[in-house]
Amino acid sequence: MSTKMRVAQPAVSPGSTASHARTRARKRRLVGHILLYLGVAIASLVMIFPFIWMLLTSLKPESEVVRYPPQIWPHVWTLVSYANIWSRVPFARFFLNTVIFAGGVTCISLFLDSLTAYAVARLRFPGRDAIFLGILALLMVPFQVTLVPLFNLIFQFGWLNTYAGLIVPRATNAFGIFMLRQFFITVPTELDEAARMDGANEFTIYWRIILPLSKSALATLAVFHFMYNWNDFLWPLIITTSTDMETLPAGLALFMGQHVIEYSLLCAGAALALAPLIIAFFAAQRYFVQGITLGAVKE
Amino acid sequence: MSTMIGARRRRLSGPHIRRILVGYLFILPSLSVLALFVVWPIIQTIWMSFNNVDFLNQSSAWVGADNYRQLASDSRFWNALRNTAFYTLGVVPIGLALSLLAALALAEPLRGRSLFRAAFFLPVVSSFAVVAIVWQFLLNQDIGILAYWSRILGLPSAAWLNSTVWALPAVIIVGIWKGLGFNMVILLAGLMGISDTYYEAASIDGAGAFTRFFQITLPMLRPTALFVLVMAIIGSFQVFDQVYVMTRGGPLFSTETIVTYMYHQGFELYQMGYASAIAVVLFVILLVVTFFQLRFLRYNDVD
Amino acid sequence: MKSLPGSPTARRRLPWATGEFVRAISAVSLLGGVLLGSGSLGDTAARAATPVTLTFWNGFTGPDEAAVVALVKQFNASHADIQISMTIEPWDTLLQKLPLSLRVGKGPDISGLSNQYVPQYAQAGLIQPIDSVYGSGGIDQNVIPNGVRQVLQYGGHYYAAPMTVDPIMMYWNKTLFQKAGLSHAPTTLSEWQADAVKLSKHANGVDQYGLAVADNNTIPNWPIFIWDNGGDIISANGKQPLIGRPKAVAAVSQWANLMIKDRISPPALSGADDDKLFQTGKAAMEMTGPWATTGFTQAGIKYDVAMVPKGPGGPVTAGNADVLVLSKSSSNLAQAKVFMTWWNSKSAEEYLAIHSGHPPVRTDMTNDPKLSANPWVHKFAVGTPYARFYLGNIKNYAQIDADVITPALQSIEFGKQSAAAALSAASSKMTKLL
Repeated sequence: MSTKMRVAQPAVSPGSTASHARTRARKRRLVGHILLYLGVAIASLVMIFPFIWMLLTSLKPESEVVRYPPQIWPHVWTLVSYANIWSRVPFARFFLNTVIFAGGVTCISLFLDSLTAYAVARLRFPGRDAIFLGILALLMVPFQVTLVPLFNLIFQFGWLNTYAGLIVPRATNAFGIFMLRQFFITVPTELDEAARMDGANEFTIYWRIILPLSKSALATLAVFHFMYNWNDFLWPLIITTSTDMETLPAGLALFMGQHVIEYSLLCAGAALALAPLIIAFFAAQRYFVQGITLGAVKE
Repeated sequence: MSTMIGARRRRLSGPHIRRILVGYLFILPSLSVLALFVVWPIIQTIWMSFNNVDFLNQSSAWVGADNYRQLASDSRFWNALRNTAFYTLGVVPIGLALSLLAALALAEPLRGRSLFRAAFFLPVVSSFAVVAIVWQFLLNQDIGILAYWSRILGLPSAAWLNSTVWALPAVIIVGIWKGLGFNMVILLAGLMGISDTYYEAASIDGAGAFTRFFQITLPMLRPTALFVLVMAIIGSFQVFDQVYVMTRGGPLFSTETIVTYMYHQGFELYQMGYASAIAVVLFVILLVVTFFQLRFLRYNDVD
Repeated sequence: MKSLPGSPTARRRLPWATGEFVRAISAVSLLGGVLLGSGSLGDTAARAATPVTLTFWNGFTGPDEAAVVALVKQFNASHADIQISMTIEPWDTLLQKLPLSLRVGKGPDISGLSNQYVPQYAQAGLIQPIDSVYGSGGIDQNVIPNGVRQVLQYGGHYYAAPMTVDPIMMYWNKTLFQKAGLSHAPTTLSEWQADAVKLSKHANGVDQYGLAVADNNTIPNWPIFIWDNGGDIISANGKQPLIGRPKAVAAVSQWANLMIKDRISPPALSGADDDKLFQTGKAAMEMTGPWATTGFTQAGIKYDVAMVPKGPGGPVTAGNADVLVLSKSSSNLAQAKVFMTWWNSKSAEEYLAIHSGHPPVRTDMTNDPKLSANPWVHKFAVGTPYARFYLGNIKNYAQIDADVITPALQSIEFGKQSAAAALSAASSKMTKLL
């Protein structure tokens, strides 16, 4: 439903001037609409240009990639890179590991993040704001330095090269808590007040009321978590010590030689690695719906 | 008077204590994980910053504030700080403005807007390393396709990643490109959360498009916008992956950022203590910056 | 507090190694751990009584990967009692992981490393001396070139065995040479510089570079200029910088002038970009290693490979050695000896040379007929005996190269400083670091 562009309807009265005014207004809307469409289309093209390049490169033979004059369009169309990936790299295994890792983190993190965000946004307890700001502060330390202590910690737990070691440290996320908290504080409080008066406990309010209302934010966060961990290169590579536990980015890195980059293979692998994420994004689009209407609250 | 007494009595009542306990219970799982896997390593990092820690030897010797003193007179660090500030100033305002525009545009009922949203989100969804390698190739001033096209079109072309002047702008452009979809999606989610009834009521009152935008959309978007702003600044200050892959901080340190310098010190020169000091300084900078943002933009208020 | 074998004395261990403290905290997250289980499907240590499994980590990604994987498969097939389990990942992450993993005993038995890391890892007690590998039944020292042999050692002991040794050679584009009226590749320094100028054209939208020079992420090019002129970067005993001396300064100054005035090369090229320029026919000459031949051939470039043109200090070229080292905590020295010796056998080096282009290290394979299966191998093998190793055996390699020398060279390339000024400043910085 268009909200911003709706022009207040002028009072209708019989007479040619009024109907002309309406036609003019409609035309203006149409022109505006077309311009908007055009702008968005051009911008989208600019955004995805490197991916068009990547896709076409993945369909070229390796020898065609580094050429002058450079050509986007392949001379020879071939799927040989897609075929070769599977023999070069245990792609299926990496795929499975990445699904477990990213999927596991996303599910657990969604739950824990939203739980914490709800408490910090809607419940009152001493130290609430200090805790929230503390969580926020955790985002400000660059990950690389904490790598050394974290590695030693995971080793102490005996979790090196295990799914537990990969997932548990990521089971909750300051970013997710922050994002959901910002979203939760915009949800009107009338609903939970009403529910509380009806005797519902906090968990029910969280589970039955707040979560369903936050579908778009939750869907967004789910996509973010999934995508961030799906593409995470450093963390899984540091924690795993054998090839069969590695994830997709590690597989893609095998096509980046120290001196020679195998572009066609890399682009093919990247395209395959991207596909699930795009699917996840489209799946999440279903939840990008308008929020509640106030009419749901009984007076 | 009676309300105050009543209030105090209410605070100590059973349901109230229960609610407080529930609050703590809700945050307990997250806090445990964070405390163990995030806070503890950070504490160790802070501890390391007061030591000479050798990454290879994994040995340490206390040096007090020496690392910080050295940082203060380290011209390469100040250069990195400067570059990082430029990078942030380049990426955040432009990037956020574009993201907002895109979010507003794609909140409209356009045909195929799902596809357009996906197009904007695609740069976000791809891995940093691969994207940076692709951009490196595209931006190559001799054989890259962008230089080729601009030569054909008669446009001036810069040496981009091989120039001490244009490398940082190139990295900024790639940074904007990569982050745009991310912020757009969050702002979209926020826009979707603004109830239609507000707009309906405003329409009935005769408010025009601009009025509705500034009186309803922007204020209701404030918590989301604040989130996006804070995260964008934190992320920009911590930029590493794309710089490391595209330029390694070169040429001649023109694209060296705080985190790439930190990485160099910690993992290439094995000076983990010094690297930790850099991390702590970055942390403090971000604390201060975020504090002012939150204060300014009144993070607790919702209109 | 636990202390690991081979740790240096007189320095405190880090406190987070305290088991009790960690165990106390771990009770809280036990639920999470139990829910997810700490089962791994990747436990590679063989439980079988007979074969001993050695883990082997290295960074041979890209086109090299196939050859290295095949070689390890060959070894495993022919050695029932020793099995190698290899993991390949990019050098960057490998170098981040190695010290961490080795310290806690979760590192590999054998690592592949660039020779520049040997002094540091040896001194830090992360790798063990492997003198016995060069004893009877092992590698014959006499078939290893002198220059290579030096970088395999530290403090009088052998710490490494050769894995691949790459010399830099000069690639030249026959087509571009012909067009410029030059019939052959330059063989002397003055010819070289003259040809580079002749082959550089920048007009009418055409950009052609005479000699593309890389200064980062490659086997070093600039030291070749310095050595060729009779200068040096560091003294033989590694204690004195020589890069500020006249011969070195003259060499750098000459070539930098050519770069700036005659634009024989863009500045600040990485090795990969350098290769790309040659591959697209935009550079007439390039100095790089054997990995580039496949790409050039596939691109249809008519080229050949020649030794670096000889100057007062020549014939000389630069080399890089990736070597095999054995972790201090590994108790499989005997098995490692078998593997390292096998890797340096004639048959293994033949296979590697033919399938990946890395020339054989052994000096007794120059007339090996089998090597002609890959036409470039012999040509590169010519350079190996003359290959010098930039900052070899220097402990502070990373700092000197990345923080002192490369920035100095780049500021000269960009014309920001004169060679004399930049190099003398570099020299004084180096004195503090040596």
